[in-house]
Amino acid sequence: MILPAESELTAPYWEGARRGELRLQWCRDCAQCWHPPAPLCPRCHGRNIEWRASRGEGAIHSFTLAQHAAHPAFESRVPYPIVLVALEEGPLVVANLRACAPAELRIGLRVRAIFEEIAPGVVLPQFAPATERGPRG
Amino acid sequence: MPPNRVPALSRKAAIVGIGQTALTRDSQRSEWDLALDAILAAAADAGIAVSEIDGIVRYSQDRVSEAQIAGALGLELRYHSQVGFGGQSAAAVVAHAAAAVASGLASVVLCYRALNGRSGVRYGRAERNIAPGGEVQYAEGIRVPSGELSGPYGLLTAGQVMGLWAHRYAHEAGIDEKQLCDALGAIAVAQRRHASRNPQALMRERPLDLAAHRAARGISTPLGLFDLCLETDGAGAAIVTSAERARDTRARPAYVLSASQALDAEAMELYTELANGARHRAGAARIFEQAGIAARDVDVAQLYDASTLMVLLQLEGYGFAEPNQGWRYAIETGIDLDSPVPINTSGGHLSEGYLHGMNLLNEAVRQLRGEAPNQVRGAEIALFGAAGASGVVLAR
Repeated sequence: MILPAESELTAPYWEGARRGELRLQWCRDCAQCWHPPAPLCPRCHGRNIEWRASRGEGAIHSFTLAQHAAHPAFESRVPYPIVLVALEEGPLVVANLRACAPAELRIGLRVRAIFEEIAPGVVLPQFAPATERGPRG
Repeated sequence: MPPNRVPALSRKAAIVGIGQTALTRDSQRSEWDLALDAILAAAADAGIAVSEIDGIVRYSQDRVSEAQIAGALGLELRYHSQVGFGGQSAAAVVAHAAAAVASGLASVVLCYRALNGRSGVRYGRAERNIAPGGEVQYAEGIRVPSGELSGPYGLLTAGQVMGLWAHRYAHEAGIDEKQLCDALGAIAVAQRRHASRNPQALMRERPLDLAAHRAARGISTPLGLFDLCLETDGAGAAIVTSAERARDTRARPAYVLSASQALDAEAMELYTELANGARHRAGAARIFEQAGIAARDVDVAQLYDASTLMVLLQLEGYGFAEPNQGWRYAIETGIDLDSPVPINTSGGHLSEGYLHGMNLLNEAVRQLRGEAPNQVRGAEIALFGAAGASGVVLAR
């Protein structure tokens, strides 16, 4: 199993996931929102940053179905979908799309965040089609 | 930013020697040993004494250090530097070497890349970044693939990232998966045809047609086995010196007209602009402008082919095809020897072997010398380019 190694920078992201929130960094000065996390605002270079919960809604920006296991941890998982989700707030995030047949995978598909505990205390933000009722639904 | 109109590198330096080991899947030799072999071959090819080498530029990713090379060969260096970010590096090592020569920091500069990419740490697998053993492994850092925000999702390799890019490309170009795969297949088949006439190519005796490309084992949709480059053991080297010193070297010099070392700083899978986008096209236009040429003046191109998709994107990114028309260009015009711009004429990373760009660079030099197995008649200007518009324009 491959788990995320939290860093000081990303700790609020993973803490959010444990609470059922997909958190993004926002600039209090210029209202920019971005992902992946960074030490300063990519637009105004300020450090007046806060973490806010995303609405967790977006659309598939692109997808691939991984058919070949590139690491032993994924040998029992292939084929599995990897998606890039364009969140309504703007940033792109990586996830696995759940509750969706491979044939239904398409760019533009509306999705919403769900949360999966993959190991004790380790929660991954994931996505499912917006018509599906997620755990928070 | 206004374009830089000063042709800073123009013909001040040249690649005068190239060397390459056999390309294999199991070299049975250390990367250090392979590197030295390629370097000695490049010096002999140039007709330059090894002791004249006073500079080294290498890939930061190489596991063979400058000290190992200088120590083994007894070199007295007065310049050395490293170039980061892998696939964009081959053009940049030449750029650094040419700049060092042009500015007098060094007089004869060696560039090399050595890797046991099949028998050692396999290049197409996640093990480059995440160890394979144990119940639990951790993905670290923001890097992509295999970082903490991608590794736990199984986004582990460049090939998977390119699967994401490929579907996005098809969406933006307004084509379906069959049209995309026909274009990627045309590239794979053409490069394999080139390899079949190249005695150095790993796949020289493995013919490929469109049906076999289509039927190949899937890796990461829409990309299959023959869309991705070869894991390879081997080494390549090149020697750069001044135009004056190049006058009495053994082979015809390949002069450096211009170069660019770009950087796509966004995490890899989060790119919002592919290598066919406006930023890339502007970067490519700058390289050509500095060389005093246009894309149509390029006689032969080696385009960094980690996958067939990257060739397709660069057809547009370097301006050989119109935006969102690269797929049509690949199918209808193609990259064969009889096309306007023959591409990856050695078979490239897909079918010759994968030396992280060095073998593509060497092929560009062979073309300008008139010594390539698939010689483009009268080739005078060659491009070696990578995605991100890191490229070098060479001329005889």
